[in-house]
Amino acid sequence: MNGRNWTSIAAPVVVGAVFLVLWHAIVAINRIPPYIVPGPLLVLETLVHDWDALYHSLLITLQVTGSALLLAVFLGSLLSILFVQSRLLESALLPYAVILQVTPLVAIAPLIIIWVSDPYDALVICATVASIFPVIANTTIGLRSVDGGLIDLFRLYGASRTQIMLRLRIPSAAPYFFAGLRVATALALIGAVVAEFVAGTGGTRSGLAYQILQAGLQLKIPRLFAALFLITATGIVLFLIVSWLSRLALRRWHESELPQER
Amino acid sequence: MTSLDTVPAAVDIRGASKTYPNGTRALEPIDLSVRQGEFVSIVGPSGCGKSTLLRLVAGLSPATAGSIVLSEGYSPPRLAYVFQSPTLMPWASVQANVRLPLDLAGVARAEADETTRHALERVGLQDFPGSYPRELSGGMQMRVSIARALVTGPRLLLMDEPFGALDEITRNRLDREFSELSASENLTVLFVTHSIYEAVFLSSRVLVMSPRPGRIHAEIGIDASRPRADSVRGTAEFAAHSARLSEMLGAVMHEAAQ
Repeated sequence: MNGRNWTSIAAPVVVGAVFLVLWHAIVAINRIPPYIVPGPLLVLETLVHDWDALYHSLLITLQVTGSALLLAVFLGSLLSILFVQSRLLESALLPYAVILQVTPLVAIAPLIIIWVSDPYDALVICATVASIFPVIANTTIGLRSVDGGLIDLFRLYGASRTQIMLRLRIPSAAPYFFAGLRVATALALIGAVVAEFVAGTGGTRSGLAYQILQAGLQLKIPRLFAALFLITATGIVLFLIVSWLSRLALRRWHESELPQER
Repeated sequence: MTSLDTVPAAVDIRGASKTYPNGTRALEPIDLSVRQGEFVSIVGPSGCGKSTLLRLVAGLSPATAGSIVLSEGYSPPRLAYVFQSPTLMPWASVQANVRLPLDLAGVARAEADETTRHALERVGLQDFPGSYPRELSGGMQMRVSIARALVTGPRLLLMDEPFGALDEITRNRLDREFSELSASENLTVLFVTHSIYEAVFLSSRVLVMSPRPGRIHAEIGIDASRPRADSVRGTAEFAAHSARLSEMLGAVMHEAAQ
């Protein structure tokens, strides 16, 4: 176990280091100007130098992503529970959830931004729209994937619908929900960034996408790279948090989080 | 048999039949009376409606016609069902799994925990309340399932091939333990099995069912006193009953094949 853990951390770190060295070498040897491709050291320097502005934007993007994710989880789970209660409701509403999912966000975002007066709220709505579908789809399947024997058992002991939902369906759905949540987390961040690109609004509550937009216009490419790096880092950290939550919830019983026995 | 006739019935089945909505006839009209304290096994080939009959008695599936009457004190929660597979909640500990029927009934936690502890003791799992199902062997999972059935203090147990998936050694051991348990608690048991030897070892009466559509083909009584020790398996009487049942099953299979 320990040896495996060590290599699973070391291997990607080595790949990353090699990548950084190659990047630096190619930029330095070919004397590529920083407004085309800045070297990794210059990006780091910009990150430190522009930290105040970038950090402020990072917080905004994190807030939008986090709020959208919470909304998607809350509304998505609620809809799933309703769908499982009634097939009619599911067949009536699911097509519209699919339509929302397959329509590209960049196409709907301008409308949302026009309709919703507060730009921050508009961003949250866009990111929610982008991330809600995997929550609905996975949780609905999960709530339905209940061992038939356990359903019989609950019925035998006179369990109410609420008891079956709380004690049987929701725990059964947890692995599916967490799989959906991982996808939703990535989509919420993408939604938050894309929506801000479309909105293109600045002001005091501008996120990382706006920093990229501005830096691109002003040819501050190192700053663009620094903002890009922060978006990626945010995505990775959010993914790790969700993975950790998933492990916490499932490690005692679900195959997906059990240690491999060798 | 005459002495048993005076014992009141726990389950009285009169002309109960089952036809599925797609037209499949699973059970011909069946008449069967299970007396209180009796251990009745049902053997028969796959598809003979053994499990269907059990589900009808449990009320998990409605009978198409006929009536099934459970005597007072023999209906849920005094009726328990043990499924083919352990049917445990994988996310819950052994203790929480066994306590489930009490939790669903709204029994206070302290009292439920106490009852659960007793049920676990009765199946020899008192040292594993915090384990999770996946950490246990198949035999131990089945014990958890039996403990859960016992936790409501049932008088009627319906068991659908409970030990069918276990290896023979584990199965024989659980059969012996269950024979003691059912006798000491004076449980009425309706037990479905594929194994002739298991049926003879456990039962006071064995029914042979024939398939397509399911009906009761024959029955034999096994008089030896219960609970039975492992040594019963070596007696001439045991062999004779097994041979007779085997013959009956052979006839049923032959008939079904035609």
